[in-house]
Amino acid sequence: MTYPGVPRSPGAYPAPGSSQPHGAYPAPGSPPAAGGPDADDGGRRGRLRSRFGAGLLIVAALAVGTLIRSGTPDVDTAERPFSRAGVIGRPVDARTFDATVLAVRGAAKIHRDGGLTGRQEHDTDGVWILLKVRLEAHDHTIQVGWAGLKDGKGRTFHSTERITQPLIGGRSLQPGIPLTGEVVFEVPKDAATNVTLQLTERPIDRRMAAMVEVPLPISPSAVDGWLANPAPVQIENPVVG
Amino acid sequence: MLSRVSSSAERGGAGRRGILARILAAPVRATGVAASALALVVSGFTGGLEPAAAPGPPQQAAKATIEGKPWNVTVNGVGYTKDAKPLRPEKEGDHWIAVGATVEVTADETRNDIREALTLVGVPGLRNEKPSRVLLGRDETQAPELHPGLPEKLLFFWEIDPAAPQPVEANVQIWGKTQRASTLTGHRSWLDPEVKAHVIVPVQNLDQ
Repeated sequence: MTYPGVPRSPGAYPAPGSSQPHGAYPAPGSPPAAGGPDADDGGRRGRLRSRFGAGLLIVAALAVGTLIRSGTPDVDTAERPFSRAGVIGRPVDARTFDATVLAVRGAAKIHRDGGLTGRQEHDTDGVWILLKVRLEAHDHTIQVGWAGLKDGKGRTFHSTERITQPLIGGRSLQPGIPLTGEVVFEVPKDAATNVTLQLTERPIDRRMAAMVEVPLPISPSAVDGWLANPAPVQIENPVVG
Repeated sequence: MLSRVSSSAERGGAGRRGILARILAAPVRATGVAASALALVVSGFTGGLEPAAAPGPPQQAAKATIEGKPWNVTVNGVGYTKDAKPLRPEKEGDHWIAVGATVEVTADETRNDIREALTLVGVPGLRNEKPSRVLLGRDETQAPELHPGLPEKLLFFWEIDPAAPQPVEANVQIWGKTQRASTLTGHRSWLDPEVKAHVIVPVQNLDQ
């Protein structure tokens, strides 16, 4: 079909009834028509470039993901307790309570009335550390749920359960009424000279909890002196004030 | 000749290309079933269907220290008694079998799951494979926590049916755990309890 004023193109469909075949092969020796072998090579190269580009993008995405992942802290680090560092003799604000470490002493053997087993004297292959602390709740009744000592090797020693510990998970603290008493730990002798007290309100799940941290000044000679004394040391019961 | 080859290829029945083309053209399920059947036949001929020997935990001698995480354990001995005061059995009249062991925490924090360090198997009349009580040897503290680097002698107690014959020997299994990030929470925890070793120990009658 021809339209008025539109010239008929060479490659157009033949007119109906025409004897000219459609899509005839070019004559031998004639120059290659558009869409021949060169065009195929060009298309193949394009596809290769496209695939190479896609592969490159995947590798780049993986590299960026690895970089982000390596720079992101793990869950335990991200949700570690909030440290409230202080020093011995000064109150440390633990958000819901204040804690003051008043004194440090130690022993080879301790004594406390009562307890779970009825036995009152407790020895150790390590050393007992007794910390005199004053605790005071801020504006509502709380309990200090957990106490530990962290040593220089990254080990954590919970407060001992071989005796009753009224200050840890026992007595409730009323706002404005401070309570003073001793918290007792059992640690190996080699850990005793490099320990930091940790206190927090939460008894088990300490993630993102406010945690008091007070390094304890304990010398090797002090430890030797404690261990040389065979007499059991009486643990002070908590008192108000 | 050419026409014969081309007609054969069209049928897809001759030559490697023909077989490959037919395999590729087959439904995925049929291919999978055929491959599985082939793998089973090959596996059967190469001994894959024979029962495998169970790779149990290694047996250790009594008083050998089984080192691992989160604790090292040394089984010191096993005893049988009708009465273990001050302990009271959950079922009145039950007797006791006790394992003495030295346990040292090798994890980096105090542990309160020491009860999971040992189980007993193969003892007639045993109420439970896990111990019902654990005592600290030095002062009889019940269910003691143990601290890193402070080995302690412990007594693990199991209740035993008094009608059962007195055991001659006990198979003590020593368990360990692996510290890894939890797949649920991402927090590092001690998970995947498994038997690390077992010890066959003669049972002493503590009442004689």
